[in-house]
Amino acid sequence: MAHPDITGARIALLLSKQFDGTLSDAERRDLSDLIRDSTDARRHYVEGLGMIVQLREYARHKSAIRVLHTELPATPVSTHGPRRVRVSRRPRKGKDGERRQD
Amino acid sequence: MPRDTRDRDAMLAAAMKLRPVLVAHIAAVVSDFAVAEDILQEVIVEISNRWQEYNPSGPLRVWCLDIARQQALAWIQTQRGARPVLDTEALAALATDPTWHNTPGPGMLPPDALRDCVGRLTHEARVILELSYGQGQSCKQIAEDCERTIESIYVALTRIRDHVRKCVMRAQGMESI
Repeated sequence: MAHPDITGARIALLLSKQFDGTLSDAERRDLSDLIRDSTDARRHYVEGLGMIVQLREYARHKSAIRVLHTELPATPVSTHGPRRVRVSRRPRKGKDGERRQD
Repeated sequence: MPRDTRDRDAMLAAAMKLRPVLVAHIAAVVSDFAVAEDILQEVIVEISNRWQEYNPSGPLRVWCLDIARQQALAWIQTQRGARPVLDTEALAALATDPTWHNTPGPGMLPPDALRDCVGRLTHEARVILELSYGQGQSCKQIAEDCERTIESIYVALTRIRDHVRKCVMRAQGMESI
C-alpha cells in the first residue's frame, strides 16, 4: 500500500487533470483503481472536490466584485438623457426665503 | 401520516444547504463543475418532486446524494460518446465513502476562514487560483500566460488546495473536513 502522502499527491494531480480534461487512458484507469481500492484515495479525492467547489465559488465572487467596481460608472446615469444644468450667477432663495448657496 | 408542504419546504431548505456537497458529487461523475452546477438545478427539482419518497429516519444527505448521482449519470447518457472518468466499481465505492458525510462536509468550510487563508497565499498562487477557478481557464492557457509548464500549474493548484484546506482546518481546530 502506498504511503498516504504519496496517495494524496497522486490523487491531487489526477484530480487537476480530470477537470482540465487532460487525463490519459492510463491515468483514468489509475484513478479508478485508486478510488476503488483505497480509502485514503477516496478521502483525498472527495476533499479535493470539495476544495475546488469552494475555491471556485470564492474566486468567482471576487471576480464579480472586481467587475462591478471596474465597470460601474462612478456617477449614476440618467435614463432620460444628459441632465441640463442651469447655471445661475444669482443665489436662489430657499423655501424660507433666505438666500442660500447651491 | 401524510406530510404537508411545510415538510417539503423544510426539506428543500436543508437540501439547498448541501449544495456544495451535491455539486462535488455530480462533478465526480461528469468531470465538469459548470455542468455540475447546471445539473444541480435538475437535482433540486427532482428532490422537490420526490420529497414524499424520503424516509426521515435516514440521513437526508444520503438520499440527496443518491438523486444527484442518478441525475449526473442520466446527463452522461444524453451526451454522445461520453462516459464517466471513473469506472462503475470506482463510482460505487466513491458513492458510499464516509467522507461525504463528515461535518461540515466537502465544500462547506467557513467562508471567513477560507478568505483569510486565501489571503495568505503568494501573489502568484492567487493569480493562478483566479485564472483557474475564477475564470475557468485551462491549465495549458494558464501555463502560457504565466510562462510556466503545464505540470507546474497542476502542482501549483494542488498546493493551493492543500494549503487552504490545512489553513482552514487549523483556524477552525478541525482534524478533518
